[in-house]
Amino acid sequence: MKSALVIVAALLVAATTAHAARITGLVVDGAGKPVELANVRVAALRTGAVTGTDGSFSLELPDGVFTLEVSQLGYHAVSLAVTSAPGLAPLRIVLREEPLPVSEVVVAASSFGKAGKSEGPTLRRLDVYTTPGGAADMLQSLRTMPGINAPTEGAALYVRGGDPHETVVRIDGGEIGHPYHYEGASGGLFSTLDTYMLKSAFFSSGGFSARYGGALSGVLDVETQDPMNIRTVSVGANFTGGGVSAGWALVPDRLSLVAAVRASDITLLDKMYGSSREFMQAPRSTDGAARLLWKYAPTGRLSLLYLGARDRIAVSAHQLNYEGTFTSRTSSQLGALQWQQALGRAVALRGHLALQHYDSDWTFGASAMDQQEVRLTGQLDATWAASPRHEIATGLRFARRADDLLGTFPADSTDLAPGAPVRFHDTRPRLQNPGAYLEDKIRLWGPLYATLGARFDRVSLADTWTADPRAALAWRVDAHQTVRVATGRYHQPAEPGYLDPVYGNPSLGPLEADHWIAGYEWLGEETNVRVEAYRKRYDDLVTQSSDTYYANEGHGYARGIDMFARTRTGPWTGWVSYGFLDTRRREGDALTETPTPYGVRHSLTLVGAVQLPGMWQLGGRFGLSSGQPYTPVTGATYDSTRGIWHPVEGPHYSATMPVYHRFDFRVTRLFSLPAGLGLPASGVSVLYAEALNVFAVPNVLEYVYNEDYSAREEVLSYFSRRMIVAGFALTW
Amino acid sequence: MKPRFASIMRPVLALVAGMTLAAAPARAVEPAVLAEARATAYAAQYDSVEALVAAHEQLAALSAANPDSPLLHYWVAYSDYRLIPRMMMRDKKQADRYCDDGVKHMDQAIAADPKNAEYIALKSGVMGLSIMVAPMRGMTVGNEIGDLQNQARALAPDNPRVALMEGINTMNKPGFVGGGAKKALPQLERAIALFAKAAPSDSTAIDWGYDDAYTWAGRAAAKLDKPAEARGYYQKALEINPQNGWVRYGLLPALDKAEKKEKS
Repeated sequence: MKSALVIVAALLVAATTAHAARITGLVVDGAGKPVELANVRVAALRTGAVTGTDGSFSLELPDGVFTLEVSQLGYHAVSLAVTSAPGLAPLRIVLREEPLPVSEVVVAASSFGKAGKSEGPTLRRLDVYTTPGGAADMLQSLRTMPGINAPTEGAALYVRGGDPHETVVRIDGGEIGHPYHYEGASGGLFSTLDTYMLKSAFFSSGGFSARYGGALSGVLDVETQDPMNIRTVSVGANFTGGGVSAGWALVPDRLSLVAAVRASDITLLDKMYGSSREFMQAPRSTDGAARLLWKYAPTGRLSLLYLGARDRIAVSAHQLNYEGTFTSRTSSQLGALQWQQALGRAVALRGHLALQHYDSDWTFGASAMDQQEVRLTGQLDATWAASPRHEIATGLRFARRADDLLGTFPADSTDLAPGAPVRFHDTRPRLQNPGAYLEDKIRLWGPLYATLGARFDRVSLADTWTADPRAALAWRVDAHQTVRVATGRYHQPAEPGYLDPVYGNPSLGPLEADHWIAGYEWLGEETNVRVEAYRKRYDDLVTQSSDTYYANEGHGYARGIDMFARTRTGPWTGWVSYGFLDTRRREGDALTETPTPYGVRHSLTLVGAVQLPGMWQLGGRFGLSSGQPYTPVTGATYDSTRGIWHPVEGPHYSATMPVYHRFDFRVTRLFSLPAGLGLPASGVSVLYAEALNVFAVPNVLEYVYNEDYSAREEVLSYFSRRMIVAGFALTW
Repeated sequence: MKPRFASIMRPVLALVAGMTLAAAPARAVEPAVLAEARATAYAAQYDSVEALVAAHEQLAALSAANPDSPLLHYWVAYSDYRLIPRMMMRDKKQADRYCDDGVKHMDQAIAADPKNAEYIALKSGVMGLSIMVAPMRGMTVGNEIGDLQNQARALAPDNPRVALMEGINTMNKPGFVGGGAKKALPQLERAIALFAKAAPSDSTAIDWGYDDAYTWAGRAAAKLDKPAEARGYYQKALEINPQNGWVRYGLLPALDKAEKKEKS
């Protein structure tokens, strides 16, 4: 029997009579409130009572000394000796509430994803399908969550002022460097993973655990579907493409397959609504994913995931002194082998081995690039649930990255026209990044939980070891309120483009960031509110150097507040997410700390949906962000030897684009098709129509200039007109 | 080198020994104990909340004394299943704890016997009740319940309790995700047919649910505005189990009241 605080309010008076005595008492909790329906038992006599609504009980016992056992689910049980005798004063018994086991408590700040019942905002397949304006895309839907700044309509994850490269994306454990279709310099338009494949996702915008390495700002850890005995087939299409997906039990309870293929092409959309861009070849993409799951034992399973994606585009573009065609072809493949095994009741092993191959070619005027990237990652984690208050995790990670970057670039960055002087680029860095971590998640005392961990990583080219201590503390004030603080050090290797032995610096060390986060969360049955303040300090950022081309001499900071509130009332659901960000960095050719292109000061997202009778759902999303910083052109000088104008730029990122805002509206109808045409009745199927940018707000993406930089033109985003996209998804 | 090697190997050997012990066959529980557990669970199912709590305590003690018995975990979870809806009216937080307790016991039962459809079905039932306690949870556990029911159906397509849980789940699910009384009623009727065909059981077997199938079919019929059919189902439930207090003191009087209101 566990120890417990027992207060006996009156002394037990012994008396010697031959008659049975009535024992009465009151069971209360630590705050003095009555504990209803607690069991009061005398095991030796096989008798007992249950407390009433006021916590009182009454028992008839013969004379003598007995052990009284008092228990109630959720409280530490108490046992006490009582001497049964007439005239005994009432007992007062205090039951102390059992705290939640560590496995049920989210200690880390800034994270969302499933962890026991204590979960905040989450992202699951259904959320993605029903988020208005999200185009049923995982990354687009994720951008409605706190901690992500959304300055444009792209899917790139700008996490608390961090560049998208600062967030590591893992799918079934395997790291995927390029999870986007139509990837540009700062991320792409939508995810290469079909939402059908999604089971759940863990996302952290800072202060994350020591088990994640190689990321400066954030983590997105995606798990794909793993149904064992389900047989479903789904087909869907809309104005921009279509796809087929299926889950199939190959050997019941042993082997199953989940797969999805899809293709998209915006030709139809352009014909319907016209386009602000001139496409020589309309954007076209295909992707496919398959996961084979083998449950080789009740306690173990092995899975193999393949994800392949291709896209291509040819579009007229205008940059500085050149207007011409930008063409791009990209292919990406990921294979991930994942293994899970439970050992006994307390130890869980989990490992993966993943290989990603990415190939991209693009040309624009005097510039051309052929990029090949191969990433091999492996990780083995062991988690030992030592007790309900103590969980220890450790793991090893191996990462190898081989990049081949071949291309030509203008020798003068302001002269992009064909025939301009160029320099050749041939960089083939090979980087190894092994690491290990140890983490202890523990209930320190009462409602105070902590995660203490550290990881050690090596960056092979720089021949450097890094040590990253990380700590988080959660105080569960009560069943609804949690206060969290977290801090940690984070490192990430420099991007391969900087590591050229001739035009770069292969000895560049890793970039560094320190995070400090403090937050409050209220989690009720229908409502979730969280507010977090954070500060990040950057060091060793990459700057241009006159001696070595590049050096780790940059620094900077990001600080801000994220707020999120979600609620449900009857048929209404909705959430609001707001982020305030103040960030400056010294990196690239900046000599001092300046604003950054991804440092959007205010980001606001409002999402609302209502369930109507007859399986109709209406939903809307409004997104607003203050303008993205850019470097203005303040004048131009004429180069008479080459006959071109050179722009004179103002201070780095000292101007901002106009405010970006957009409202999307969605009507969804869920239905089931009756049996017919040799097919059985369908499962839950969806018909939807989505109005994108309902108020046709012309959002500006960038400015382009005329030949002598005396006038500029706005380049509007693709969705700068009202469009209606309709589609369906049928499932059997 | 020798002492160092030994000191390294000692924890490894201890781990292997621990795993071997964990893998050792479970000690069989006396049939009399299993029969006592079932009798305790059944005796309290329509009794007062206090009696249900006391029965739960007894079953939890039996299970704690025989932690390797999946069937004893099952009966604890079964008492959770009966207790949760009653507890919800009085103390939601405590009802939630019984939900956790039920899922925890069913996880242990399933870990010991992963192919038992009865265990998987009851886990889905307890999880379904956890949505009643905290409706927001539907967004997170809804899919898992569906997966569990698919698993149970694949393992035992003609098990009446698997069919019953499926019918109850359909009844409780919102219409827009394929739920509702109209879809639930044929599933519950199928469960009734399967119960009617079920073979007589011994004193330790899981055999509850026949009256529940009629009760839920009655609820579905009442929701579909078919009071005469609902009454028929309720009466059948009482024929099978005259102790069914939910029907006797809750559902039938509510039906009477609704009919009177309609006539007036």
